[in-house]
Amino acid sequence: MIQKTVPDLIYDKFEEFVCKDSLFSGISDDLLKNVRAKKKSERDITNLLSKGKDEDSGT
Amino acid sequence: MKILELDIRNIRGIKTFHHVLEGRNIVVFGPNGTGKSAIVDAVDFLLSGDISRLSGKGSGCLHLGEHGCHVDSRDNLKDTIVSAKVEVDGREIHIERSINKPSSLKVSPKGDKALVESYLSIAELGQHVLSRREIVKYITAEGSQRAKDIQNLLDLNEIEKLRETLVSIKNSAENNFKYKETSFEVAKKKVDDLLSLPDVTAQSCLLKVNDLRLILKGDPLTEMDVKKFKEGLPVNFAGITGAVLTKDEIENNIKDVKEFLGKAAEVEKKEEELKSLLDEVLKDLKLKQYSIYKKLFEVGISLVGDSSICPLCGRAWEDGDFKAYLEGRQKETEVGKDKQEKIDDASVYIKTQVELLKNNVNNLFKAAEQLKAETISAEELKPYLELLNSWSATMLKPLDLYEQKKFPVSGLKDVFKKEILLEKFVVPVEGALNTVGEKPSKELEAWDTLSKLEILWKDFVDASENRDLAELLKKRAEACLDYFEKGRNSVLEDIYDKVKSKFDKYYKAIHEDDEKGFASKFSHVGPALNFEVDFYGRGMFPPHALHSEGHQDSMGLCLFFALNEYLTEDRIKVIILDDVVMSIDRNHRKSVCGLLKNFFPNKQFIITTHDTAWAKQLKSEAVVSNKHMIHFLNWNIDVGPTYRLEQDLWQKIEEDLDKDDVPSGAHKLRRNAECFFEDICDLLNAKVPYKGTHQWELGDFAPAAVSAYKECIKGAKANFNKLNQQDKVNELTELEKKASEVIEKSKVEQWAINESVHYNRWTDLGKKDFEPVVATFRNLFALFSCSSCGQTISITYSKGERPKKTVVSCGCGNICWNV
Repeated sequence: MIQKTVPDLIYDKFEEFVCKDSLFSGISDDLLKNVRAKKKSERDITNLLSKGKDEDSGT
Repeated sequence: MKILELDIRNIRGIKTFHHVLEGRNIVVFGPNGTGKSAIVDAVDFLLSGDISRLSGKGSGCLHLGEHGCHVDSRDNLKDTIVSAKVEVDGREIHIERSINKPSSLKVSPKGDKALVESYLSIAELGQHVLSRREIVKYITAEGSQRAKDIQNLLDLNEIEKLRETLVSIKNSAENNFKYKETSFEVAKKKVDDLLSLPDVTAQSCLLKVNDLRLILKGDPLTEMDVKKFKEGLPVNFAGITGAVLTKDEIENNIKDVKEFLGKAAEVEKKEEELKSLLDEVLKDLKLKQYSIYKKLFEVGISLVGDSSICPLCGRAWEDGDFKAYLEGRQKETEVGKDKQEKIDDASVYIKTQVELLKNNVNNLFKAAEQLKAETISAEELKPYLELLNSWSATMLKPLDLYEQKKFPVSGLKDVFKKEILLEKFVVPVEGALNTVGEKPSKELEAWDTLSKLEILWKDFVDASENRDLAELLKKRAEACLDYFEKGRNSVLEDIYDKVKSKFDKYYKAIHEDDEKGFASKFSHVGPALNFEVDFYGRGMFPPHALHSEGHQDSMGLCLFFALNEYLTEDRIKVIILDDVVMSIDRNHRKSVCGLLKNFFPNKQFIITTHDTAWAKQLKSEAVVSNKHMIHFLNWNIDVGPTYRLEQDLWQKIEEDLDKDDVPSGAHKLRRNAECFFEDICDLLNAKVPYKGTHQWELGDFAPAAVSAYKECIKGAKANFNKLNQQDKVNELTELEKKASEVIEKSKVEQWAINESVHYNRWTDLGKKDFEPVVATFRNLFALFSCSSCGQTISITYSKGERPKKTVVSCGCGNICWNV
């Protein structure tokens, strides 16, 4: 019933790409949360992207 | 959401206003300064909590609290209220907003508050009001400004901020990787210099470690673990500190510097290559956007196939040309990408060479101290190291720094100065090394090498991990930005495609007669939205470049509708059009009426205009019914506007006759009859005799209209006869007979109107004399109007080079004569 906003549509597409790419395995959920958050922090996103592949994403 | 009833109190120029809209279109018309726009502002305020006229460019000193209310209500904002009964999802709900608390919306019943607010959140985008100002905004704006305006509408500001953040993360990650890559190379070289290995790997180092352990009578290790390098060694020299650098290390550093000097020409060539690439890129900034263009052209080529029709604007190109053009452009982007990659390669190469050289110079400086060789002082070395550092730092952002003219003034040839490297380091250190005598014992040297390797191997492993992590961050950051832009572009292109297709459809509906092949082009390049339109098949141009103001107004209107439909998803049905057709001519206004009526039958238009002719046209085209024509007559500061609902002509004349004011009634009848028959002549394409004075009167219009009407009936009868539709023929024969009687009588009665108006003999006419005249004309008018929808009949022409009359019809289809 409620129409999705244009940013939501863009986030959905972004999510689609990220979830398909193994480069983001283990961090995709946190990354998407950060990207969709109202206050986006460059430092938080950078820290997340810096996490090693075998590191626990913390969620 | 539609408005059923509207109440306004003390808003802008209005003291009080009430109208029952019934969810229908309304027209508010009257001269300038009578308060019409206050209706627009009030509805805008009710729906969005703001008045768009008081915000935006040039309105910095205007405030809702002070300027949104009636000027006398500034101290009593509680009494500045707009309320309405609205229909939402089939429910009747009362809503109310006051300038005293603009963000607070009162909803009754209270249970419907969430429902109403979900609808009104869309209204906050402001995409329900179109004024002349907005048209100018959409049509004449530069690409980047238009994009900003549309980004505001699409709520894309946060998206743009996120994109900027991702760009910043990507740039930092790329620089970080360059730095880590070089650090790794230096750490690797240090291990290499210590162990004299052709290739530094865990395996080759393990072999070397085990050789050293063997000298110290120890067992071989199975893995490279720094903690175990000196574990369990029967021969050990714990507590003895070896030299800062081993002889092998010093020799390897000397060898490295000599090699560097040997490849000075190669590195300098790289410098030239880099500068020439930077020059090329800076000359053509478009190369910076290669990745966006590349994707666009790739998609373009895949969509074109063999059709040679542009997938963006729909125009056909000459055979073969278009695909060849796209392929050419695609190759250009390859050149761009190639250049960027070459710049990256050259800068990383130079940075690594410089860092490695710096490491050698530092080591040889330490070696000189260790061997007590005479070389340059730390003070003398400083500017040389600064030069090396400056080149190393510059290679992190070569394009930006080159553009800002912050490249090191000294070239790389100064880095490879023989007089420093050879004469100040290699020669004295080499000489001192030769005179230093025998090496320490093999065992001590092995112990010393293992001790140094403990540190260097740890640095190497750390540098390797850091580089891998930096590479992972870089790849992720690049992918993040790429996916984000791909997602954004895909969503926006989809929206712009929909908007373009609707825009074209609406514009053609208005200008089909003069711009049949019209097409528009919306292209989203980087942050800008370019909007171009076809100009009579002569190419694509900005919308305000060649088209007339009237055409620009049509474009603004159509773009607004196309965006409105997408943004409000048909939930906010109220659309306010504030004086928007000013530059559009009468014929095209008729098409605008058709657009409103046929394309948006479920919308509720609130239209304001100071042009009475446009207001009447909206009525005659059945966009607005008589009872929703609100005539603003005048305005004063104490009582606000004086307005009245537009009365039916016959009712007005009746009122005049009730007052025995025959002259007024006769005047109204004559003026209205003149306008009415002028319209009919236009709608039925009647032949009006030409007059050099260009002053036609009722006596010119009425006979021409009647004659055209008779011809239509005649044509329709002949056609129905051909089709053997006897019932239709009979119907028309009956109508023809009735029409003849009415027409005949009107000829007899016309004198009365003329006499009254022209010869001032109305004193002789009484109510009883004039009533039959009115009745006759009422019947005459009725001949040309549909008894169901009230719209006057009009003729439609076939398309093609020689258009032919096809159908005479009304708005609802009740009258439909195939002629």
